[in-house]
Amino acid sequence: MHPLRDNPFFVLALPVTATALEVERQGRKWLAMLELDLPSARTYATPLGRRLRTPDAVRAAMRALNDPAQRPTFEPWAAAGAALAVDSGDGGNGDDGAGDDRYERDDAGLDPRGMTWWDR
Amino acid sequence: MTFVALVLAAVIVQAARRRPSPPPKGARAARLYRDPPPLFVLTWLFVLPPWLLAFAGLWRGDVDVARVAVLVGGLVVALPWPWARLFAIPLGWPRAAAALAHLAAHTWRADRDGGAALAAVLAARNSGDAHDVARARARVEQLDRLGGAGVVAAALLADHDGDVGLSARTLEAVACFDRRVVPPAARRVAVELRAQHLLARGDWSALRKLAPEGSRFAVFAARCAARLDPAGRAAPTDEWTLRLRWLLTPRRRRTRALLTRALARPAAPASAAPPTPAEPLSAPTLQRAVALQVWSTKAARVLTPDHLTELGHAWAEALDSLEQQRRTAGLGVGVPVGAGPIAGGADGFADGVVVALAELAALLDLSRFSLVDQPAVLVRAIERERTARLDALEIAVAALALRLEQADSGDLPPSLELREWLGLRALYDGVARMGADGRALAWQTAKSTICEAAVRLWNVRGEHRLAHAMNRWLLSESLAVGDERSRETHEFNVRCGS
Repeated sequence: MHPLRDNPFFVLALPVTATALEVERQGRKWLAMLELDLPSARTYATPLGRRLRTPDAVRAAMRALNDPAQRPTFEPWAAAGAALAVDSGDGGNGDDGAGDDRYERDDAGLDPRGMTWWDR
Repeated sequence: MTFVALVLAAVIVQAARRRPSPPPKGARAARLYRDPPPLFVLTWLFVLPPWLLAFAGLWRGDVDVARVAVLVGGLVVALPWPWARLFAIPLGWPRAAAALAHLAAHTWRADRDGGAALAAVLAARNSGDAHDVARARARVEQLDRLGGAGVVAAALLADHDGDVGLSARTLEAVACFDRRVVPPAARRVAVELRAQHLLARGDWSALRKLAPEGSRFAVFAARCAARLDPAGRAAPTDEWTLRLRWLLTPRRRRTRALLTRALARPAAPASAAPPTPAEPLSAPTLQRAVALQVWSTKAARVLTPDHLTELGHAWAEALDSLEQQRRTAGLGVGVPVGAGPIAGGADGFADGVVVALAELAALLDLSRFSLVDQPAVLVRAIERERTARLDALEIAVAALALRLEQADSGDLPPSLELREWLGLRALYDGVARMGADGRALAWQTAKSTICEAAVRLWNVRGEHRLAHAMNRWLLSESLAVGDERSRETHEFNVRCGS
């Protein structure tokens, strides 16, 4: 689990001071919203850009934050990274998993399809 | 009648040459690279007289179906590749494209089957029909003398499947093949596909250094990249030359976006100052380390080993500071939630740091990076990444060795043998990039098995071109590592195929 990209605090959008009850409540809220496929639940903000939020990621985050051994390993990252988290809709390096089907393009790249004689 | 006879004659002659009998064991490789007899001369000798007669008849005004058929059919038989380029490939007709490419002996030379497969793949990509793509894939997998055109076809298929990494690796392998089995037309498609990959990534630095191999698109893309790459603007192409290049490039409507992007950049040389993170140095150690980590991950394209060292030092400081706080706090007695590693999770936190650093290390070429005097957390990250890569290489080498032991039952079609070699190369390069001794470590792990695979391809299966490419790669690696004994063996093997 990447400490910034997959940080459970970012996945659940919780502060590092969140209690076990808040973790449970927030996790269930996200799972219900994902079940309804609400757009606002589909992604979460991290310092590295927006990421896709999936039910599996939410469950893994709930497990991690309820585990006393795992939780402290993510807290400093979340505390230090919270201020850096990208909140805008399209932040980051195109890291939201959406987009091109053949090429992983970053901001600097161009769609090259159709530029050669053999590519329609 | 004349036309039918001509077409039949051409088809019979071409079909007779379609499956050359495999060369006898031990035959000198010069045989393998020899161009086919100049069939196109023969074709022209057959085609030209009736074609001229038909043309003269039409010129006189005697228009009939037979004359028109001879005129058009003669052009198709005599100049098959332009017809494939102009019609069959853009319109997405794989069978017609393959048939025309197969007739084009003067275009595909020693790799006509590969050329036909390449044309079929190009047309299938344009047809958008999954069955066409499946048929083209089968054609590539059935190639029994894999040459440069077949390799480029495999790269195009990987690109079509969305596996750009495999496609790029396959294109890199083209350089290992003897140029005599990589027809110029295949080289042009290869360089254009490579240019597409680099354009998509916005890797202007690599794009401007691309050898164009006669491709107008590649020349234009490289000129644009020279303006767009901050490091390449010392000698940029001026605006009017760039416009002229664009006019000379096919698909002008599609390439206009690239021209506009390049023209929007001033041609003046950019300042060569390296990028630096904006985080103030006075920030608390943990905050600073996380900020640096975020910056480094986002700026992975311009990251250097020096940046990694700086990040490693930042993390070492942060971990020391956290350890100190933990000791001061009395090992977690009465520490509230949210206190992090102070509450006793310091080891787990350091593991997270190692994961994050290893991810960045994996992006860099650390083959000249000394681990001496580096922060312990960075050394741990690099060693962790290298161990994981070495494990993967050892498993892949063991699997190949097992397959070689199974002899005939373990043999794969040449295109899959190529793919396996490319996979091994990727794993090998991964280990070679991890630390100064990574290449030697990878070499010792992989050299015998890859050599054995190449020898089997040459001696038993007659796949001389692929075996030769593998031997050339083995020779270059033995030189890079400085393994004298292996160098002699591979020099001998390469001489056998030259």
